[in-house]
Amino acid sequence: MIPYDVAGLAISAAAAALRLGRRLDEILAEEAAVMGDLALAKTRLRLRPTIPELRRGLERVLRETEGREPDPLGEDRPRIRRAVTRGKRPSLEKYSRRWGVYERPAKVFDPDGDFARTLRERGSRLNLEDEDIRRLVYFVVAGEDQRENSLAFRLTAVVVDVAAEFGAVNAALVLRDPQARDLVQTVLANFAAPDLEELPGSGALLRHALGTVLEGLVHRRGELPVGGGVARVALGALARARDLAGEDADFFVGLLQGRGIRFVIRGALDEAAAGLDASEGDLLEALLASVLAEASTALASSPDAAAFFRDHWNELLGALLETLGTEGPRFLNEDSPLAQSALTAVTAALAEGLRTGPITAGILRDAGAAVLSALARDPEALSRWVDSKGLGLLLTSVAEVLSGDLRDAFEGASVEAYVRAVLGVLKDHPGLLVEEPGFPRRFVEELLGELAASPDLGWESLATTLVESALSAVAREPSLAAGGGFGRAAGRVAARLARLVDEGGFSRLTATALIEILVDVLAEDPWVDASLPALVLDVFGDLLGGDEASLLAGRVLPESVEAVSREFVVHARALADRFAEDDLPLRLFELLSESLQRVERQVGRGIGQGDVPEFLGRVVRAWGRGELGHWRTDRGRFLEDLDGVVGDFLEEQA
Amino acid sequence: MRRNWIVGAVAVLLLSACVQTATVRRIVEDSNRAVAEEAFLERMDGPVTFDGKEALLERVREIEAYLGRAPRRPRTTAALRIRQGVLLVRAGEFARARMAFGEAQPASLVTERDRVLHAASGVWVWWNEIEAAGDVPPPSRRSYEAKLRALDRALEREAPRNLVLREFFEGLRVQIVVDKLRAHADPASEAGRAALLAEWKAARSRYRSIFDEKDWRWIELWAEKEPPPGTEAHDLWAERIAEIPLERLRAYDAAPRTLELLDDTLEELNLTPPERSIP
Repeated sequence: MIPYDVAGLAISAAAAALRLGRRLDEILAEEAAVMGDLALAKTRLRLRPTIPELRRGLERVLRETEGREPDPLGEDRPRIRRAVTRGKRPSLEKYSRRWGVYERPAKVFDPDGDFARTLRERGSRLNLEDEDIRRLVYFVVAGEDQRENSLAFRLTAVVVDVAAEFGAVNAALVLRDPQARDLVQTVLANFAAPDLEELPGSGALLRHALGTVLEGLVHRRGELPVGGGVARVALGALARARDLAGEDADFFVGLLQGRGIRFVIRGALDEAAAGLDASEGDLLEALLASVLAEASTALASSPDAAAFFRDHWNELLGALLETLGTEGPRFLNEDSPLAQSALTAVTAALAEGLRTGPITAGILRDAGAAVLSALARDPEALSRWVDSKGLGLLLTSVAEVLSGDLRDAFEGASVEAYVRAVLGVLKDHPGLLVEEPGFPRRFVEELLGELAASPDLGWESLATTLVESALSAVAREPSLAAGGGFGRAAGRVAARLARLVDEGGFSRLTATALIEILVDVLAEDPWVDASLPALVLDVFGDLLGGDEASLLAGRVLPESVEAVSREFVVHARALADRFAEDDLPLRLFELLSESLQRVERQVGRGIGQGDVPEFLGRVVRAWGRGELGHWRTDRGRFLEDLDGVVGDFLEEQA
Repeated sequence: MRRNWIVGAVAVLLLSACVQTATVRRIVEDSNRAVAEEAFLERMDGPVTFDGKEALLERVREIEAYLGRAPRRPRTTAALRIRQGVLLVRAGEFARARMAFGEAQPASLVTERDRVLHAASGVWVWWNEIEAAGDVPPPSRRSYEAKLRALDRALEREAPRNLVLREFFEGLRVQIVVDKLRAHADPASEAGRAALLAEWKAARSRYRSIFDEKDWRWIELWAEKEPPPGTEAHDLWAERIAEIPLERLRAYDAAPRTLELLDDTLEELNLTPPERSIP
């Protein structure tokens, strides 16, 4: 059951709001009627002939017909003579009409027509399609309002009146709370602002704003975000948005009816605006205005879009504001008009591309924020993608990935990194997306499918590097995108690395470095199966558990894995001919272990630890070429051959 | 839950009450568009069309419908009646125009535009009716003079400060004077010439006085012949033209035409103006 006092407050608020709404509507309607422009057309004056002109005309007729037989003027001749002599207009007009003798056709003095023609001829610098210019040029303003009470005064009176009524029940609430007073003052200041008054639909806006304030006064006293600054930015943005929305006034009002405006006025905006200085506040206002206008345009496009915005407006704005919170300086850079374009483009793309998709509010927010963030950090991508249909495809793709099984795996920064990686590749190869709109989703699923099933050890950086490396490889060689083999192979290698991290074989940092290398290896030889790099990884994992692990410290390990992998891949088939599949890992381990033991003895005698990767590569190459004896059947020769490789290497180094 | 309930109630109540402003704004925009299309844009390519008149009358009906159902607010009603009168004049419905202006209560008119329109509406409607009547004998000299006196009284009483508005009514005055001179002035006698010249001078002086020196500089610039495009002179001219205050441009454009009308009228009455009003 609702407590008695809460119900009382609610009834007061509702009654006050109703009264306020009606009175504001009447006042604003009056203002529109009284102060609205008026198109006032001038009269066209047809210049009637003057008395001298009429007289001259009739005199000419008399002259030209003089002496003719029979007289064409007949009995009129003496009458015309009399009319000319007396100079009275009725007679002159009468005979002039009868004999068709106006000196010339009647001229027309047409001030408005002449003005319009002059504008057309020499007003090329005036854009008469522009409503504001037409208004200035053609219409007559109302002039000074001679009432004693200005609009601001009357609005103030209404609000004060309503607030007083409201406060009669809750006097302490309204009158003693400085936050409440501050907020009411802010709203009043905005009510009285001329640019708001002139906006179609501003009545609804003002009512909405005040309704929000009233609601806030009732329910969030003490925790209400005060802020003149916030309210100013929000209301200013709405005013500007209405300007931008132009003809879509009804839709804009519809937008106001959604949950979003309440959200803007009182919700996340103060968070985003908290750290802004005055000039940034202005930029934010402009930014929000364009986004709101974009949204209202989308809202106008279809009932589906309207439903979409009604349901998702909060999330969309949330994404934008969240991005502003983290990327504010980039987006609010006055010298970077692209930032604003990016926001509006993302808004439009979200509205168009996601409204029919199976997305949730959270996904919408994440996708929007991720794409915006990525765009903010990559000006080049920004310039290429803004105004591109590809942006919609990209957003759809991001949302699809986020709405799939991989959703749980992607949180926070990794989503942005993924988007950045995708953008990084696609900015140079937009054809990938155009040819296969679902490519990013498909490719990411191939890459991360196995990884997502791995234990959660915080492998976001591994996944991110994997996606970046794989997409970079695709950028270099687009054929890798086809078929799915490359993506799945890289994904399996990553999953193996994740397992090794889990088992303590590699650190996450090393794993991240390794995946980049192994993806490169896979990309260079597309026939290579994922099992070969995975085998090398396993072997190095084992080596790290042995006595020679110290030799593989730091960057030596990834470089060694690279050197060994490249040689191993090159000679993989030859080795497979000589060794059983199950035996190969052990043989490689023995080879590398023995090699490391020999290197360890030589370190400080002409070679350093940094030479280890190259040496191991050399050994594997010799092994692949069959230059070493068989370890098991002829161990003596094997070791002798190995020593020979070591000796050659030392000699070369010397 | 509580919050949602209250928010919902407030929102419903608020939104249920926001129709009047939108309606009036639409009326203002639509009526302006109808007049502008009929008076300015249509005329650029041809005469007024029947559709133009229909559009004007449709706007008149909209205003009537709104006033019939909206709560009575005298200022709103008065302002909309003035607008209705303007539309009706333009549509050639002069009797109804007089009624519309008559229903606007002077005490409820609060802007100089509406007040002067109301005060001068009798003359304005009469004048438009005369001009719309076609090739009929002109009003009597006394009739012209009575209307001019009425117009002068209205302009003296309301004295609009807005230049376009002043020019609108002073231009109307010049039109009436010109028509009167063309209809009745006869320079055949010395006395006739003297009376004619005196009236002409008074009309010209009065009209010129509504513009100050700064206005005249703009007027001369706007009336200046456009230099050949691509020349330095053209660039300079265009640069200066762009600075003309657009909200006064209509008056600036009308000034030389109106003075030329006065000069031409004098010449067509077989008299030479003491000097051309616009060099």
